[in-house]
Amino acid sequence: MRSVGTESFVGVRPGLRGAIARHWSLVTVLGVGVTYMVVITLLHTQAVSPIDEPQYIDYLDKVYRQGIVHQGEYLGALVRELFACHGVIPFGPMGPTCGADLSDPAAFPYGGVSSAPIYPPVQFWLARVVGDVLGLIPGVGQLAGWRLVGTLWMAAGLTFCYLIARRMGAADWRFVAVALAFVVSPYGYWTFSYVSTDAPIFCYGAIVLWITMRVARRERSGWWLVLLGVIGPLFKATSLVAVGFAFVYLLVDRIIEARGAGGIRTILRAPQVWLGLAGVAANVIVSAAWNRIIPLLAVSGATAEQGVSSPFSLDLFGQQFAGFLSGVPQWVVPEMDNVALFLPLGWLAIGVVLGGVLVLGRDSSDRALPIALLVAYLIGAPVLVLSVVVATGLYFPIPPRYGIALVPGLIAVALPLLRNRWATRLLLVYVAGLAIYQLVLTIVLARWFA
Amino acid sequence: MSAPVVIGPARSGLRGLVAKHRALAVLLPVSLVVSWTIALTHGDAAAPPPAQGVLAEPLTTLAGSPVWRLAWWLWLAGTLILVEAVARRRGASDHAFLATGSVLIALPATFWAFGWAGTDGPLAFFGALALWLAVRVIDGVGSGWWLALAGLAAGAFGITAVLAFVLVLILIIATPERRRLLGAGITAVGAALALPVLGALTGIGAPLAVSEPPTGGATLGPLGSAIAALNAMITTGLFTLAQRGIGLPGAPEYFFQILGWVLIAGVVVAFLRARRTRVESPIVVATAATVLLAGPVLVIIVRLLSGQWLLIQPTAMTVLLAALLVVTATVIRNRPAAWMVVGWSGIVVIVQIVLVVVATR
Repeated sequence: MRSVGTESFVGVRPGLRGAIARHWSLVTVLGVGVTYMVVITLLHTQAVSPIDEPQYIDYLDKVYRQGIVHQGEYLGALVRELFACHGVIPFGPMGPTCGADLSDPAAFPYGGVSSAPIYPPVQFWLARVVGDVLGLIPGVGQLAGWRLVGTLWMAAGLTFCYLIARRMGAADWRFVAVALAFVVSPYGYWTFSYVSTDAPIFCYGAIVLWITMRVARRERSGWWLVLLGVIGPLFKATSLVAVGFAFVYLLVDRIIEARGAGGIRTILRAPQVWLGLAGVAANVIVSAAWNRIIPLLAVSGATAEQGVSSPFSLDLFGQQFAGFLSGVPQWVVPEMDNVALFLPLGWLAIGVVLGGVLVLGRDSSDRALPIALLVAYLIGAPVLVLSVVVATGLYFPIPPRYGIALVPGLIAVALPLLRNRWATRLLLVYVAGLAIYQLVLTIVLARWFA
Repeated sequence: MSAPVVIGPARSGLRGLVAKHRALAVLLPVSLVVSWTIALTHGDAAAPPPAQGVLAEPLTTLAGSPVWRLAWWLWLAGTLILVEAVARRRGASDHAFLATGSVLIALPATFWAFGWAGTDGPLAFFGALALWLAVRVIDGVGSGWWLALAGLAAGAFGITAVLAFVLVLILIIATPERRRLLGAGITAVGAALALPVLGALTGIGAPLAVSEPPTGGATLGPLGSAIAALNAMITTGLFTLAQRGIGLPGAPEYFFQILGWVLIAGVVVAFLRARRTRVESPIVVATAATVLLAGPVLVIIVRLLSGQWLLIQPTAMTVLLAALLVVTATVIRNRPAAWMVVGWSGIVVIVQIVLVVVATR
């Protein structure tokens, strides 16, 4: 009777309740994560994030009129007003005094020139359409609507992370703890609660990893990686990190499988490896093509001088090997995030990336994943630096946030390491502490930048 | 027939010893060469770290003496031997100890601790000794009084010695032997406090390392001190040891950072994986707890000794180094990864020596 009753229960309500019971950890992560991020986003004033948010807002503002923002184009009136009247967190107003004449572009950061034309327009088209719809919700407004698109990218990315966790048999409290640790980190704060071009790349990284794991087990065709390789740069060039990680993963996976069973020939004959490489090639080709198109669409010779590039040197290049995992990869805005409270997040990242390889035994179920993650964390930033040097001839220090495509891999490697229930509980307590801190910080900032 | 008779005694002698401790047999001579090269050359390249404890004055006098600088290798050798002994007792493999021993030789904390005749070197040794004695006592070998004696001697080198014995106390509490050994653990903590307290009361020596505090030695209010204690929970201990560089001109700090990552990864992953059934879990939990408690404990001790809520930045966190290395050794299972750690440590040592020689000239 009991089993019949259960069956009839499941049969009568196969929908929502059954799904919630089966996917409770995803529901928890999305419920808590989305609520937290929406609250944070709605608490923000019109003061903008220092991670180039004004550039992106300008792009969104112009999308319906122009389709794209051209190289050499000046920032529009909306952003000039945001700079002058609302300011940049935590630096305050920039440019002329609010209410004064804002027509001189040279008075604004980067000489008033937009730095956003390097981005293909796809993500801005999506963000504008979806953001405008979200902005229609009472009490939200246009700017908050655009910012809320970041929460959607986060939710989509976390859903794919959940699918990865399910494959690893760890879609439980461990997933809840690790995923929420990312959400409440400064990484999550600056990426998902403001307009950011890194937000879709997190989701993209999760999709690429999920597909790659299936390709490695021959459950999906490797051609998916080629398709994803093409799609990635339509959002941002840093998508290269995701497909590069996928290729290294497949290569290491084949090497491990080929040891004592055919050697190098087996590796060379594996279509997964070649298709993974084709995904990287496709990504590079599309990026290069877009870089060729940008000057063709230029409207003037003016350039956005960000003051971050310098001549290439071996010492500066060497530093990039520690770039994505420099002990504190969670510091996105040093002026804001340089507090001791966030340091353990860096320890967790280092522990997972390096420790995942140190503890790797012959009995580990997926030995390729931690090795590939370590390789990707070490060489990801140098590869991006070299690509910039080749394209522009200038050295541009890659910020740790450009490695956001590796976060799904970080979550995936962390899950099987978490065997201590007390560690999971402690992590949840720490996550709660960080969430409270971020909420208080947001309220304080909202008062300062009211 | 005579062959086994000849081989038997030989195996039980030096050869047997080397065969049983192959990693140590490599690391000890390497550490001697590295330590002496650095100690002999870097005398003028950088200022020695300040000494602390009741022996602060004589040690400050001796710090620059070449002979004493060379003799300080003995503390490093002792630390290596004890770390190996504890790591083996808790199931670490040879290659795991080879990796962590290499990290110990190359770490910037070692560069500072054993290059001068200061208090940091002995503190590192006493940290290892406390752990070794505790593990033996927990395993039913030896007397708990040795712990008290070690605590008393360690206290002569500064108040931070107490951290090693706090770790031992937590370790004892985390084991099933807690009822039997709790008294010994508490006595050892008390013994480690005896000389620093005596020194503070009589004005002999310096109870604390004279380091440059971030606030310039400013007195903190109640809220400031609470925040300072919380901050110290994170920025002292693991952070101090793992993030420290050698600070010489032209030093590529990211080279050294990776060694710190090995320690961080070891402690974090060991804690994430700790299970009640595993033999190394108590030591992992005790080390993780002490690493977090070290900062607040020191802040409170400073309050008791000086009467003020002062924010200190201790230079003598090397007392926890042995525990971090042992814990790291227990998680290393991957042989190629261990060899990569050994290789990187070798590169760092070479860079260190080159930098020291260049800076001296």
